[in-house]
Amino acid sequence: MKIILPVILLLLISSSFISAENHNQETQVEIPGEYDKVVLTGKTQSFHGEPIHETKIKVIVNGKEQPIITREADKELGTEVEFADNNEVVSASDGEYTAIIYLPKNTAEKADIKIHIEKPTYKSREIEIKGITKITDGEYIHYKDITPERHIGAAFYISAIILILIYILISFEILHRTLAALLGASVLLFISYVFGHFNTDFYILSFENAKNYIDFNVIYLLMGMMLIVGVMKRTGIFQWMAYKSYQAAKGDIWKLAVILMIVTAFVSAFLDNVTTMLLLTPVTIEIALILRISPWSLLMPLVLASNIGGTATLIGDPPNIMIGSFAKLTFMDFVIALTPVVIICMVALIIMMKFKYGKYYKKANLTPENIEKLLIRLEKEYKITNHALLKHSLVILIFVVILFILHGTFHMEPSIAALIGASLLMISAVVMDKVDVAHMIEREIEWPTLVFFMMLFIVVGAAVETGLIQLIATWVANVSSSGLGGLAPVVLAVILIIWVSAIMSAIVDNIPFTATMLPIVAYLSQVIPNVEANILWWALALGACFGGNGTLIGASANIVTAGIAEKGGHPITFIDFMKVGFPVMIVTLIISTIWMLFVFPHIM
Amino acid sequence: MAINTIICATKGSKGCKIAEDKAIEIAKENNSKLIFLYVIDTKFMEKARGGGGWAKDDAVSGLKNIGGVIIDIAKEKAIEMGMSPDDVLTEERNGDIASQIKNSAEEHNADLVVIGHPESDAGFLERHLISKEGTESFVKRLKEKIGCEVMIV
Repeated sequence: MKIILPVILLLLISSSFISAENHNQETQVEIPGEYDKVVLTGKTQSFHGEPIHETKIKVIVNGKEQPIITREADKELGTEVEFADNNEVVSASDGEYTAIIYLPKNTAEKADIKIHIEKPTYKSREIEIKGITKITDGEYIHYKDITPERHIGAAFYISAIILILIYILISFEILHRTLAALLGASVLLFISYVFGHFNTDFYILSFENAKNYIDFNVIYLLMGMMLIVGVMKRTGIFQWMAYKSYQAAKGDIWKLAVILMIVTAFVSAFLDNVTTMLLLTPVTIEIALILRISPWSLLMPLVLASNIGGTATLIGDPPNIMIGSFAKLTFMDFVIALTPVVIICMVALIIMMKFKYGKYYKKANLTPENIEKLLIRLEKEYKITNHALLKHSLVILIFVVILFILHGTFHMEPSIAALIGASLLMISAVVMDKVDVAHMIEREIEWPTLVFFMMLFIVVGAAVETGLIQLIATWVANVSSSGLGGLAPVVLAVILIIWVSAIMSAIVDNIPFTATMLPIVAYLSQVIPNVEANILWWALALGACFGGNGTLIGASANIVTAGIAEKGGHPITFIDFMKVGFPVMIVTLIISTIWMLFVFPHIM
Repeated sequence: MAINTIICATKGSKGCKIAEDKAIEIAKENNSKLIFLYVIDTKFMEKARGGGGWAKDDAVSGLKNIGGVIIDIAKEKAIEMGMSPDDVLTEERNGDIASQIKNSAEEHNADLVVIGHPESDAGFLERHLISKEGTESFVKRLKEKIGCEVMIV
């Protein structure tokens, strides 16, 4: 056994070298002295007009494979040049292909020309070319758009199994989610190149293709925002805001809860929810402990407000960042579509929290001495640690927000705004707070999260390549068009997306779920009639973000809050969290559904 | 056997408050010195996004403040129950709970360690996500580690 394995490995490696050599051999093209030049061009695309790239195209003339000349731009001369290639051309990323063949003079019009298409995960087929158009003497052209049919084969099943496995590994915490995604992406590529080498049925996606599926706008935006938060938190601003909220409430706990909810929602709309809760939870617990009330009567409103507030903007929550980047939606698109409904949901949350915790707040130990004692303690513990850095941070943050507002005008990716802000803030931190840049980059950027995102994009990309996502999307489109309950397809789609996304996000990590939903919603937006103003994207954002309130594991911010509270002697059970969080989720989803179906279409 | 120093490890939970009361009672009976210990344990951060390494420092400083309140409240209670302020000390440590209780017991030459029953205060995170170690195993490990008497209330 010990010998067999290396031998097999050696054979595999050597066979791939042999194959690579064959592949690189260029065909010698003999261009007849007197010839007819035929240009075959068009697009390879799906039934719904989405480009299909990397489709291999061969031209068969009178039953014989014909050498193809490809045409490319000569950058130096600024002209197009033709050169001999293999017997095939490959469609570009926009699905376009151009194949030029040379035939003996005066034979083109009578020739039996066929195009043979081949792409893993699609059925190979031959298409007859009829009626080539004569341009000049000896020059012909024919436009042919090609729509290959899907082939459900090994690649499809492998990508489906790996996607499901990753969901299982992450949901049941069998593997660290970054490792699960890394494993999935690497196995997909390994199978594509090793098994796909022997049988194209196993070819899932190319390395180049995998790289293209990684949305670097999302990665850089997350990275930039992590650094911005990393510098800002050094100033102590977040905890200081909680202390100031307490001061402003003047011993009125209900007022304190409302102020804290609004502050938390506002901060979460611009900065990461997890960091917001990580920094606000300890000071909130301190306040609760000293006032002798249950910390959860303040923490629960806060964490729910954080998840709701994060929904308001493009940068508030990772699902929004992913949606914005994929669908090319601007910061202002999010503000216009989501901020009003988030404000309404915040009002609903405040009312619900009043009913739930109002009676607890009355039990607080609110003697003047106690209130004063707490104020002195908070003032001592939570002060601004670096005023100069804070001033710089706020100016730069405002600048970044202005860039976010204007990024659509400049046709600039939002990640550029985050990166420029992060760079400027880092310089301020180095000058004013003697920050060690390497340490900052190492500690403040969540590298495991970024790797997770990159690998996840590849895994979902594989599911797109093999047609799995298309299959799910078609199913959802069919359900939406079924006329269930007499509802119009667009109405049914909005309801389905909001509610399914929310329930899924309450159970599984909303990041992989959103990543999977992106191409599905893109497809649905194309095929469902009367889908206007990106309504399905907003439905996804609302469902994926509000779903986080449904359970304790629905959002990372919930877990961090529960963890700190547990260490502060106030554990919470899954059910106790759900008793408060789930009704809030339901109410916010009802508001979102009404907003999306009855209000939003009229204001857009 | 004389009990000169008692360590009461607390996180301010219901179970811990019972342990605090018991420790105060024994300390009063024996005129012992009582140390309230809070251990900053950030293991839960592993379950946060990205493994939580990026924010461990923030979690530590946040828990340090919470711990300060918890042991101050315990100290106030001991004084209210009749102990001399000089006999009640507070301490915060950072790391694995069992190891830090052991270190504290050794440094203070403690005769008795009092803790609340770990099972009684575990929430969803500790029960299902963080602790792979069962309560019995934790208690056993604690007793094996610590050279002095351990009382689990």
